Amino acid sequence: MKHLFRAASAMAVAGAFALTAACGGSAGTTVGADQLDLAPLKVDAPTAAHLKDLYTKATDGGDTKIVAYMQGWEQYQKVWEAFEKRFPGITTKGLAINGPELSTKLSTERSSGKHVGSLLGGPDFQRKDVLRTLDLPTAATLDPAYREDSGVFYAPTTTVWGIEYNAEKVTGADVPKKWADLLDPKWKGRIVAGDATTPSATSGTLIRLYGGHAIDDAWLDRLKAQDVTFKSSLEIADQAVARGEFDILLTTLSDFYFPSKTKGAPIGFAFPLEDGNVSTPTYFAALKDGAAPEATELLMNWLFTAEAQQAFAGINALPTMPGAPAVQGLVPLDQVKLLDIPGPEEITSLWDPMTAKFKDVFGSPKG
Amino acid sequence: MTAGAPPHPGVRRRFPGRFPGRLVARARQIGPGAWALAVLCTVLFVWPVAMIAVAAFHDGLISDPGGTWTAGPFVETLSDPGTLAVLGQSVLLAGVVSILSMLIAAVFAWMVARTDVPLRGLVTPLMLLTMVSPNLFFAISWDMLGNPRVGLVNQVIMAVTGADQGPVDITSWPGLVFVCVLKAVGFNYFLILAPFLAMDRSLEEASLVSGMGKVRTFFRVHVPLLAPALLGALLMAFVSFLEAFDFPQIIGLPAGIRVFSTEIYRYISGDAGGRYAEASSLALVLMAIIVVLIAVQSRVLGRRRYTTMSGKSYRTERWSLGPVRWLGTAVIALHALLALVLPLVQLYIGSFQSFFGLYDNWTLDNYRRVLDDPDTINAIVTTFGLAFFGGFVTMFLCVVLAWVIRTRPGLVSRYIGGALWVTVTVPGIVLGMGIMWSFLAVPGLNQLYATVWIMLIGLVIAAVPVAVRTAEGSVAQIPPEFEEAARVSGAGRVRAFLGLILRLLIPSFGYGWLVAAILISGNLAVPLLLASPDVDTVAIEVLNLNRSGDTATAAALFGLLLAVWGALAVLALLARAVGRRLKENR
Repeated sequence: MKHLFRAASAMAVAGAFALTAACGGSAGTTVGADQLDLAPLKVDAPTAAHLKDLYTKATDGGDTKIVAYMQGWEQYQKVWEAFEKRFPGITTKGLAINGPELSTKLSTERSSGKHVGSLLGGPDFQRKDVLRTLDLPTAATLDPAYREDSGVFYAPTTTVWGIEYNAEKVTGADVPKKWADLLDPKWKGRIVAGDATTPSATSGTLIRLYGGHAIDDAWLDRLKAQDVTFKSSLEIADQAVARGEFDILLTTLSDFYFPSKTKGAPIGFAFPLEDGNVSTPTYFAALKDGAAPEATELLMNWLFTAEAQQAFAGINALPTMPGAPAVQGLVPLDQVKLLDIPGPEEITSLWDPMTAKFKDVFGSPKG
Repeated sequence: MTAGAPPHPGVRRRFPGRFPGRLVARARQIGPGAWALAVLCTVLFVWPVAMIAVAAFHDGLISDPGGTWTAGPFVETLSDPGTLAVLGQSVLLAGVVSILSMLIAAVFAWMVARTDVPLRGLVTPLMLLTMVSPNLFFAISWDMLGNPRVGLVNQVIMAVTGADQGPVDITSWPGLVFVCVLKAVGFNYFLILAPFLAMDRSLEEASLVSGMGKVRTFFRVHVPLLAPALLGALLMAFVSFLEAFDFPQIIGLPAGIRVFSTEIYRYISGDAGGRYAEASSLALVLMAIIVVLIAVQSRVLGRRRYTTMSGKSYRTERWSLGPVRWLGTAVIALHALLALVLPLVQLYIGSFQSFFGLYDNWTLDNYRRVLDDPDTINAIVTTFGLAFFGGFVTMFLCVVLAWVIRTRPGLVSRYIGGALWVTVTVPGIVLGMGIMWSFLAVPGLNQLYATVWIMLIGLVIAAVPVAVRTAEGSVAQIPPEFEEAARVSGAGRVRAFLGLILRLLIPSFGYGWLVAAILISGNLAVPLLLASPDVDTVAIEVLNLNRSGDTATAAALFGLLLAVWGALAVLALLARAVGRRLKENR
């Protein structure tokens, strides 16, 4: 009985230790700023000194865990790993939330005074009221198309949209070449899509295509007649095409397509399309009073360095800085017919009316 | 299944203090320890519920100073036709699941207690495994098994029939009911097995001697005799599935089935998120329904006497079912196949696929991804830490409270009984919400937000309804005089409890601890609102992976969790066997 009592006590204590360890997160070992090798970043001396200063402040304060609220954060995992390797001891973690869930998260953090999140990521200028401006010397030459005027949002990468298909079921001339091809009756019941009835990647693309006049009300009505199956997320729709449940994914972004393809999925990506494409910058912005502010600013700066831009290209994500490397498997953007679409702020204002319209046309998602 | 436990008997008693003076006098007699326990119960069990009630009338976050007090959202929620639809779907699900699962459980209990069906000895272990397996395991594995095109069930049917698409679609009303029933049968079986075994067989014998056949005896003797037990269990199952979250969230929502818990979550964090008052209003409605149901149950079962045992022994032989007994064996085998074998097989098959559903591309990458990801490892460590430490805290708390209720009748013990009863009425998702509101509203305590400790508190409270039943049962076996004897010998109250009473309770304490640990490790509803990027559990990770379409990695992670639990169970059995051997050798 005594042994049992001791064993029980030991297990409880082990559990308590595990909890305490879990509380501490997974912080790594830091180094002195002078030990940082910033040569691969290809930045000038003052910028390098600024980055080292940010690193020192972050590590001295022990506030080294960057938490990003962003759908699709994990698609860029290799990029974050490159950052963590360059700046030892600073860690990153993403939480895939947006829309109302993000608002709830931010409200509870503000209410408790405990700020867990560090930055937001996404295709729109959302929640500007909780974000701070940053002056990023590394992004000095960034095209204004990839930054917001007040210095809150910066896009180190942009993604292009196309039509994904199951390469074992759709071949040769059947592969869609324009958005209108999706209305062919032969695809009836064979198209899947992400949820277009809430703010999401799919609804965002449809809004942009609509704003760029590549699609219109008649196109939406005819698409409805195709009995498209809407899934609750683009990722789930992507998997459904990969395993052959459906032939065509209405639209997906290159940043989702390439990771699935790399994993061996039998899929293809129709890009560019004859009647025009959409390129959506992925903006990042730092939260006011966010966790790990110096580490966040360091990451934001690093995203526009040569090393980060190469890392984006390495995972087939289009980098935005002038002179950035080309992406294998994608036609360069200057050779693509890009639609003239509304700006991010106008897109943000279109979310509610357009998602309501999509809900009316398509109904609720299934699966 | 957190609401599966019955309310504590103490709640049926009425508060005796009718006059303020008498109450004050009695309150003065209560010692500081009892006061401390009463305060603890208030903070843990009563306060979160009170905060939900308060939040229903506050526009915006309860801790937000800019919010206003209004009954608008409460009235709107109640008058919203959507709420009625949610109520209808919730009642339909709970009703169908509880009735079907009770019928099936009754058949199994009858086979075990009264028949000669071969393999009946496997039923109890099978039901135990079904009962302790997390809801999430059934939800995820059947979500995979019942996929119309690539699920194992349809793959086999398509291979046999040559059809292009299988007939089974788990994301449907029948699918949701089927998976819920599979899980509920195990729980109901244990609720009604004891009455089946303890039934007075003289009545059965008299019926048979009077010329009634076995079928008529079953319906005219067994069923009426067991009706109260069946009714009680039926109501418990109904309450459990009225507040179910995991199954409706994973299997129901894709089919457009919305129930209370999923709707509450939607109002907080889903596509209708940020509507906190509406979420609280809906939670109040749900809790009110549960309170009424439990009150009805207590009234129905409390008023009448249902004697199923007698002092005389009229042992009758087991019924020989002849060749029909093999049908019973087939039913047992079928249940084992559907409830355990197929889900496990599908889970592990899926975990080795590069994409769930691709049967020609096997890989270990999913396991590699799980084991290489420090955040996932952190979630596993957190889950087991919460399970072991939280399970210990839960059982310790329940044993202390059960002991106080048993040995110190009076105002405080009645209050503690009532506070424990409150936990039965609070579904996991509502509990998570209540804790969040409670802690956010208090400066200082709000610093616990997004830490593992707030999640620990939530999970402990969620496990209390089940753990307290184990504690009550074991405490009832210890005479209060033991504590008195220890105190006469010079031990203080705390030392007497820890040194004597708790030690005597160690075997049942260990059992309760294990059950609480398993419940905690598989709980999805409570951590869903309390988790943060820093503090995650396996259940949350699995849900997120599944939601993002990475079903294969979700299967690998869950498969790993089950494997660890299995290994721990084997180790425990080995340790027990070695211990026995050593004892014998001595």
